[in-house]
Amino acid sequence: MSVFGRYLTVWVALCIVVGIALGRFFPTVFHVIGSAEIAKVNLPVAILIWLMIIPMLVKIDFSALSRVKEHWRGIGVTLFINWAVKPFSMAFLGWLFIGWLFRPYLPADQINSYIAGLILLAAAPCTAMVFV
Amino acid sequence: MVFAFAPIVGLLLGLSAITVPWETLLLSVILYIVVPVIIAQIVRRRVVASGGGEALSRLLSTLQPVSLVALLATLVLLFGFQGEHILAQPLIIAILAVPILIQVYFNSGLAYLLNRAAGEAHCVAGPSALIGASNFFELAVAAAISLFGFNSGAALATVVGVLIEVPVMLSVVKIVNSTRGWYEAGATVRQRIASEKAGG
Repeated sequence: MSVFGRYLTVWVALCIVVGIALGRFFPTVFHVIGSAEIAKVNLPVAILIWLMIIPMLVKIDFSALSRVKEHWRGIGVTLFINWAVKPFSMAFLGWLFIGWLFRPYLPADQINSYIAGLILLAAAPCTAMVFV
Repeated sequence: MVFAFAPIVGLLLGLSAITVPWETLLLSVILYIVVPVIIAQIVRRRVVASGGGEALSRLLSTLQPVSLVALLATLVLLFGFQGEHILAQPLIIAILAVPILIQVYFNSGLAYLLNRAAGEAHCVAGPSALIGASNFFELAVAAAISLFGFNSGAALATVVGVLIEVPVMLSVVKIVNSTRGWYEAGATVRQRIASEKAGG
């Protein structure tokens, strides 16, 4: 991992602070950015996401898939967890904690939205299919 | 496999009585997965064809910072929108982190145990546990923003996932590495190692 990657948490924390500060002092800028969308797709976000995802996808070597057989057990377990367990356990935990245990501490109108975010997070598979 | 994303999300959100616009969900899968995969693989093929593996690794090392900067820029944007919410209730981040943390340890633990039971080699079980538990958070963030908007709780929840991803994953790596002895003492793992030695 690069210096950049290793301290991801630090950078993320920093961006949170910067973002909150900018949002506070220049709300109009964010308003403009937020409304720049076509067919419900926000353009600045779409561009940023592409910049973020494409480099990772370039790394995927589809020709390595032929070697999958050697490690079918590991792959099988990974696929099973990724698709059959993870999204469902997250939905359950989200419901348990956000929808029930911590409900009094959260804004009521956002509860479902938080759970939806957690589900999206858990259902998004890791790209590191390249580990074979 | 990636194509299972939309149906699973649709199903689970439906169960939780959260309405999802199906077109938007589908659109975000095409826009944020299918198209980028095609572009990326075309680029990869071109670069490998013209400059070989060396050119590819050079390209990757230039692209990696771009990817991270884009992620961070997205976060700045996101929190620009979320700022008011968070300042009002900073505890939300901690609360959202609880289920995510349990989720990661539960799933990586389960993957690790299943690998041990299946007799997979330790060097595969480690990555398997990591991958089983980790999330493609860029996709999650993108989907949450396009489905529910910048200032939604959903977008915030996915960002908390990004925030805790690295420290949690490093801790999983540490656990996996330090339990290697225990892992290889598993009956099926021992059997497999023995049969591999005998076989050649």
